[in-house]
Amino acid sequence: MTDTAKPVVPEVLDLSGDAAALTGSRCTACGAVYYPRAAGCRNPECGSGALEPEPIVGYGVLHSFTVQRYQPPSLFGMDPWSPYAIALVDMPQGVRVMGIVAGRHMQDLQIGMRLSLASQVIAQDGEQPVATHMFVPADDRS
Amino acid sequence: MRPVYVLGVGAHPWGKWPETSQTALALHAMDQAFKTSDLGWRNLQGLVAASSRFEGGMGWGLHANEVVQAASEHGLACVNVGGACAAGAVAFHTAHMMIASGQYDTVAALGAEKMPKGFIARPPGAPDDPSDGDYLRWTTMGATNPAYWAMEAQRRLHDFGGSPDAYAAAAALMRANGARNRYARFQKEVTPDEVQASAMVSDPLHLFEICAVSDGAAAVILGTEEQARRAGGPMIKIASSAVATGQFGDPAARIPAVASTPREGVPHTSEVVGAAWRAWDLAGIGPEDIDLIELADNTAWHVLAWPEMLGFHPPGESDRRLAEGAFAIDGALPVNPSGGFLSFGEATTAQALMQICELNWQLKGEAGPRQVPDPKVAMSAVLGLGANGASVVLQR
Ligand SMILES: [Zn+2]
Repeated sequence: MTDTAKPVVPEVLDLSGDAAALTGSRCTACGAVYYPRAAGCRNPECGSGALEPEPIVGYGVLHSFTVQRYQPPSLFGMDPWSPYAIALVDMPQGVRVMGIVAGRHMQDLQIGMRLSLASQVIAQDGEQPVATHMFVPADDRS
Repeated sequence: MRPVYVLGVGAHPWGKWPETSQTALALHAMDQAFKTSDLGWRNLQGLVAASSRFEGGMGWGLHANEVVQAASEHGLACVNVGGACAAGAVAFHTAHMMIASGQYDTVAALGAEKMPKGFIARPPGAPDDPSDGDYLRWTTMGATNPAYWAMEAQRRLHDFGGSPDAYAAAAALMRANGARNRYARFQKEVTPDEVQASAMVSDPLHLFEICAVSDGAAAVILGTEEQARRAGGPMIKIASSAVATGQFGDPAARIPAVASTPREGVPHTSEVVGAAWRAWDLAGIGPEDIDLIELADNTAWHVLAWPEMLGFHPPGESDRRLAEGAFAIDGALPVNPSGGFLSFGEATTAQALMQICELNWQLKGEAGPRQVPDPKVAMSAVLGLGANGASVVLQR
């Protein structure tokens, strides 16, 4: 469905593969993972600083969530806008990532549940759909 | 380093003041501080302004130079510091160190702020940078500041099995204190039921559990022991002031980041915990010595979580302690006798200086209907966007 969609920020979301991937980076010395890509490793016990790309993909565990009931200031292009859930998800790469939860799952969230990283169209740029990263419950195949 | 004392404090009441310029708010706060210290502009050798509400000095804000050019051009040192919502405490710390070093005798720290309406948005002119968390949180998910706090509040309910009622009770306590403070913007008490009847903004937090944005100004004049002695009355000494930034592995949902790398053993909100613990260390005290705390209650969650985070009592105990009255003005650990951010609304860069004004009023016994009984040691703790933390300990 999102095959032809472009990411709202192309540098941070890769929609070219089978699964949506956030473009993170991993320190080759200490293994710390960063999103968005970092300029250097900020682990004070590391100091190596050599970073390589690390796709953040797959299933994570819901750390917490909220439902944002008021429209944020401009810049967020969701159109039409309606309240949605924002979550913190512990991804298997070792990084806790924030993102929207796909709309119809807003009422079903439980801390500790598994969510998978996906993407969803939030607006149109002329003919082209615009997508952002989004979490969906792991057992949801649709 | 030599000891440094508070010589005077002043503030402009918090509110929405569309007719009053930022400079006028600043001058009002300075005039009040001069009145309480028997000093004038020409006595100042330095003015440190909490200048920008954003890290890196971007955006709009106050400059000490503008204030001086409206008041007294006698060549004093003007220093402008950032630190977002912690900037007022960073300014205070700077003024403290300027005098402690021996190079200056009399220096003021000043914050004055006029806030735009609604959610705090991006600084004007900020570039569209895909490596900037602030850009990404707005463009990829539209996450407001309350959304970050709400996720902490939701997690706390999960961790300790508490009830959202405790958030409402915390907000009601702040408003009860604020009702006794003529500087607060909201001087009407609200019941926990009214808190829970206010609009849900970001689950589980209601409108009255989240601080609004306000206009306001606060100033603190610092000086030497000799000056404090000459002024007469109770001497308010700066036991310590400390500034810190965040630590790698901090589990907090740090505004405006969109990801974190939590690690075992790193304190939550480490910029604030780091500053407070350093301040205790420098003052040679611990949590048991604190008679009252002014903390940055951006939400009701902060009222419950921060005393635990700072180490006043074990995690999960705040709900019970609040219910038992421990955080009230006459409790074991009075939290925000001023009414806090929930009663003031946040005037970002000025807020930490208002906290210090309150510490001073409390220690001098000048807090009137919200006076904590006979406090000797009082502290502040504040957080600023961009992982800025600061803490001040005053002592009578
Ligand atoms: Zn590293």
